[in-house]
Amino acid sequence: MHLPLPRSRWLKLLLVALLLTGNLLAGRASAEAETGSTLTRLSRKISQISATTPALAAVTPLSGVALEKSERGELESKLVRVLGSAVVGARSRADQPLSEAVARQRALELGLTLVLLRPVLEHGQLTVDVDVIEWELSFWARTRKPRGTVVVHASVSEPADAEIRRYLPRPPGLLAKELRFRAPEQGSIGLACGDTQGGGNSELLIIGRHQLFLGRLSQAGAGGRGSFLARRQIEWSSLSELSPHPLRAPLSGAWLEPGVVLVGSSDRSALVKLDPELSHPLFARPAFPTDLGRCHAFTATGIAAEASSCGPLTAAQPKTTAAALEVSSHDALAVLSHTDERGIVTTYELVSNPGGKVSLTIESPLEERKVHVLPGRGAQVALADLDGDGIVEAITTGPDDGAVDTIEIHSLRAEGPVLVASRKLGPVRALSVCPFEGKNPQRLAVLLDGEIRVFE
Amino acid sequence: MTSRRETIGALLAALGGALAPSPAFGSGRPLYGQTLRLTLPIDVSRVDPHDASLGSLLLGASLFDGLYGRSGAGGSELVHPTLAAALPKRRGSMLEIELRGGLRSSRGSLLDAKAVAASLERSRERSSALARVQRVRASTPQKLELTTELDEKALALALTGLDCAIVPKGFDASFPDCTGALRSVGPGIKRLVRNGWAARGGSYLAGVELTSADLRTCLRDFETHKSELGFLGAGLHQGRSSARQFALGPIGWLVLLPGRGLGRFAAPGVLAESVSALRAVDFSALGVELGSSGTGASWAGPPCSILVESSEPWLVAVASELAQSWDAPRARVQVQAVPKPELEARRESGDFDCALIFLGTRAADEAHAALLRLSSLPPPKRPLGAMRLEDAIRHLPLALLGRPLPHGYSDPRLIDLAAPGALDLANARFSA
Repeated sequence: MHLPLPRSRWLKLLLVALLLTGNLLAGRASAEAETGSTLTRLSRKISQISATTPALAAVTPLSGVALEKSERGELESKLVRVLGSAVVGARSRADQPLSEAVARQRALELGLTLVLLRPVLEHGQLTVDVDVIEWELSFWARTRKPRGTVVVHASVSEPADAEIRRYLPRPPGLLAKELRFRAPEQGSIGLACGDTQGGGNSELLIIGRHQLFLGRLSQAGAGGRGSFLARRQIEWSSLSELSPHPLRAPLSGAWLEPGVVLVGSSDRSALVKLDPELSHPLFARPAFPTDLGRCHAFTATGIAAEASSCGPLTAAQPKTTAAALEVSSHDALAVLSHTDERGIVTTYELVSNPGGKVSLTIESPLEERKVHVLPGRGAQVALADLDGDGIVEAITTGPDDGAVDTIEIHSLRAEGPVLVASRKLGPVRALSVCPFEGKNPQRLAVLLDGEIRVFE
Repeated sequence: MTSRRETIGALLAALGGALAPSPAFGSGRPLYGQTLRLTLPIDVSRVDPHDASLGSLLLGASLFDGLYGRSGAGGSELVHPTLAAALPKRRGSMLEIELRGGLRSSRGSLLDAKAVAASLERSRERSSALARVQRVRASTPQKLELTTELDEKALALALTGLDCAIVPKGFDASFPDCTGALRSVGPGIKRLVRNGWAARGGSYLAGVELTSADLRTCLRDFETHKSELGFLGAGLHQGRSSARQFALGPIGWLVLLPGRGLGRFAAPGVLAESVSALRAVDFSALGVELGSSGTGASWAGPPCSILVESSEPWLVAVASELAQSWDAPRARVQVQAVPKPELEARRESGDFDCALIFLGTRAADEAHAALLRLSSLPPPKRPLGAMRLEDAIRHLPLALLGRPLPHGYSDPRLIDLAAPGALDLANARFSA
């Protein structure tokens, strides 16, 4: 079926804008659940934007990030190939990055509408601004508007993944740079790092036994100790009662994402979901969250081995009617879904079992399930591709002697885990890896008693 | 006047105490699990926190929680709420205590204000810890009102004792329903498991198996790896040379009560004089610290039997040593071990010669009051409270034999088992 387009250019503009808005809104819910690599997800979004007349698709050079010449060349070629081909209805595609001026000139020469894609890599997000530019038909109109008219504008963004990060400069080593900050209170039991406000700037959530603190780290001068600046803090007692059966050795965890703070503590009788201002609480049964939809109940000894959903989250506090569960439990747990450059999602689960035995399970659609036991013992665990080499690292803490722990980082290579870095400090109460913020490596935040250390 | 530091300390304690202490994770998370086996010379057929027996004092704090606990090293008087939600608050002439929500006993009985008030009344009937509390009542399902002349801090301190620990309604000491980190499965305290309703967190240990035996068997079980704790008997653990030494410090008092059978030897000071002649060295191997050491003179009175509770092997061993020390051809002294109900009935009627009992108080002033109650005498001319306990006893028709000093050796893998005056089964655990 072919729909006749209105003759007026302004009506045409309005129609395209309405179509685009509708497409984007309709696609939003499903887009959140979409899988695939960053470029695949961006391509899907860009494919919903189409010019109404034959067009030239052109991609500008990547901005917002400093890259080596060869890496820049490779990454930009990939962006041109993948993003350029996502433009629907293009009669011609530039085969290399073009500056904006050159792209306009070429489109004008060819008499084609220009679909201009401007990729920017900033704060760990790959953002693509899309402009559909049409040219005036009459000579005088073209004289008045030599740069053409932007009839459609859209901006799409996704967190950079392994496929993008591998072109960024690699760090000289892991745990190389260490920064120290005062913690807001002694004896805190949990830590999470994430972007709650959606601006690409990570914040830290510190889970105390009596308070929650959400804020950022403020660096001191050379060699000095910086501070944690709480943007919001709230008393636990205003959120949730003490659990009728807390854990003697408490455990806590949190999941942060734009708009959401989901926090669970074995001290409390509810899992609490808050907004980035630490207000508007919703409650569910007490649990340890590993993401927004996956939780592990607290048991009589730790974290239940079996995962379940975190909900239902309601405005009413749950009532505890049963004794603590005596079921198979973990001491610590980390889960990571890692998308490689081919768009294949591999799930890693790192658990610390009673006694400190750390085991790792890797599940990938292309390979059989693998289970590794990491050497040493662990009380705290985390997973991330810290250095951006496309290979996930397992971060564990194990007792060294007395009050000191050893942080160990194992690179989870195809041939098996390889120890790539270690550092003595402690005692470590919690650790968390911040989201990718635009440069390698990702920041590793470590909570000690009264102090936060950040490794870059 | 209260200093700012004290105020801040009290505030922090009030805020912090309701939760179990958070151990440093420097040596990894404490290991949950495994079963501890203990062979001890105590009665394991019953436990009642309000009736301070050897077993209650040694293990009661792991089985029963109170409204408040003490924190700080060296027994400093920082009080924090445990089953209570906050420190007591004054409401006119009364003190009000709010309870934590959702509290239950190990068998799931609701521990609301009514149940807690009943428990405190039960405690008042059995011990002197709440002697200055006139009335306890539940004002709401979550709040208690206590009529007392004590101030807020003094009341909270008084409620930290084991003899004020909370038990559910209808508590049966021989089939105890617990409120602490461990719960009893079956009769007595022979088998304990982690309490899934423990308001301060269940124990690290999955379970504890307790066996009552004489001192010799306690050590033999340790040497043959049937028990993880060797009670008393220093140097007798060649089979477990890596064992770690522990000492809990003095608990309570061993008291000799005279009965009708002693005749004129039941007069005040006579029994105490005979005890002071005992040689300390004879009792040190039994973990008893005598008040004084003498030359070992024999019993000068008529032939007598020392009445002792048969379910308490440690007391039976001490009574046997006492009989042996006192025994003489002209004045035979022997031990008569009888069940607890018979002992209590005979004490009530006075139908005995001499009885060895355990007085489960830790502080000397509490012991004064308890001794007065035991002696059933009119108040002395001089107030006993102004005297040293050892001097005061000379004015009473009873004798302080000494103080039990539990000590011994434990499996080297065991961590945090020994606490002042008790075995801390709540925090004890095996190293990973």
